[in-house]
Amino acid sequence: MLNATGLWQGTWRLFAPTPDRRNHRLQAKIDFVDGEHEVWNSPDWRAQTPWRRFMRHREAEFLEKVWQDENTLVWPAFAQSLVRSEMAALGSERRPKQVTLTVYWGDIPPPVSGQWQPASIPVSLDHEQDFFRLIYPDRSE
Amino acid sequence: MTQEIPTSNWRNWMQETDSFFHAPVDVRVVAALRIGYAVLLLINVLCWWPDLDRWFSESGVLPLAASRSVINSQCLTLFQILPSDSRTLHIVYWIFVAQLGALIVGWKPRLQAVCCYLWLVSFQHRNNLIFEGEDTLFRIIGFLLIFMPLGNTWSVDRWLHRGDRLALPTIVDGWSVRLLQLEMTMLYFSAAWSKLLGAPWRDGTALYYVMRLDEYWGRFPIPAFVTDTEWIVRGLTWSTMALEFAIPVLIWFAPTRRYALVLVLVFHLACDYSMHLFLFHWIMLVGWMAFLRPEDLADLRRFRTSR
Repeated sequence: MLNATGLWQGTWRLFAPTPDRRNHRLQAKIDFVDGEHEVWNSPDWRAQTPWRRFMRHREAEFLEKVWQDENTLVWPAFAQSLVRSEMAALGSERRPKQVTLTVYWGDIPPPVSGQWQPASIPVSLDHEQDFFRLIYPDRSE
Repeated sequence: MTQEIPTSNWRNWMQETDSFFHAPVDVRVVAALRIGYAVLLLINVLCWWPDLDRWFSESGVLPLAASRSVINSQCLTLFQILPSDSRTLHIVYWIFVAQLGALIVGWKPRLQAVCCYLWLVSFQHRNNLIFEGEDTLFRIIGFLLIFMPLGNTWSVDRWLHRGDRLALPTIVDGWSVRLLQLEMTMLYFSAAWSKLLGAPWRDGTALYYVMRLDEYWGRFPIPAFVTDTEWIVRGLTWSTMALEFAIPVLIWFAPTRRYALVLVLVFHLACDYSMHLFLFHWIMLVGWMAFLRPEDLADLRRFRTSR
């Protein structure tokens, strides 16, 4: 009943009991049948103006959640939407062959007394993992 | 005789409880809640506009079938029964916006509150991947508003009844406002308790991590010594937790109520300055407005006229 009516609220955690310790970015590599490729990158939030970041809040929320394992069923639709929007932006008629979604991440180093990493230095995103590949059907015949 | 004492105590307790939940409330407080809430929700909803199709249509990132796979199947949305075309989506969206406008000015506000709640839940359950905790609070406050006398003052409805002083009373039973007060108190207490269970909050390093999260931190400039000095960060971490424990207590006692409200205001404005959390801090402040009293409004007016 509470779920159906939207009254379920769970617990209020607010960065608790443990705050997130990971920064991440997403990337999509779109390979085309003609051998060319395009790359889409999720926004670098540090580079956004406060106004732009405010307006893109929903996008930030989506990109934070979409790559997590509990949302695997969303990945095909997400990949297809990225292809559509990239092709619309390019005005391209090219046929996509496959899309590969990759997550890059970096863990915030634990605070060592007297040697705290300055907040102004971005955390290096030194890990990467392909988490989904969508292969388009071959329509060459 | 020995049996009458518990009966009497029980009756007293019931009377106390009844008077607690049904304490009278000034309708200006309710009107302030209505306007504050509706303005914030309107800003929230207008920010969906540039990407409306992307978030909610079949050609967007999450077609309806995919969205049902990542949400509890019991979560209902009107989009399950509405036509799935983009035109319907846009019509529904603008009806929602228009009803929020009507809620702000107080034209048939209860009807608007019911409809806005239905639209809000429907949009949130259509694509729950773009919503978060603050949107839950939007839902809860929106639901409680339905039961408040929303149009008794500062409203079109009041203006329409201007000749009839008895039609819309200015002091009313405030049970739904009381529920909102309890919601805000429990929300803070829950947040504080969760923090107490986390080692980074207890050892004072939690904000060290928060201050290095790309997605949230650094909305406006903050001096480096604040984020990089160990004792300052630890002090801020512990202060946050202490504040979230103290406010839910201090807010209920007359001598400390105003201090608690000022603390809440300063805390949320400071957080809003430093972090990208969209409208979270503003909807929290609207929720805390449930603790305002008529004398606060009078003092605010006196302060404004004296300036």
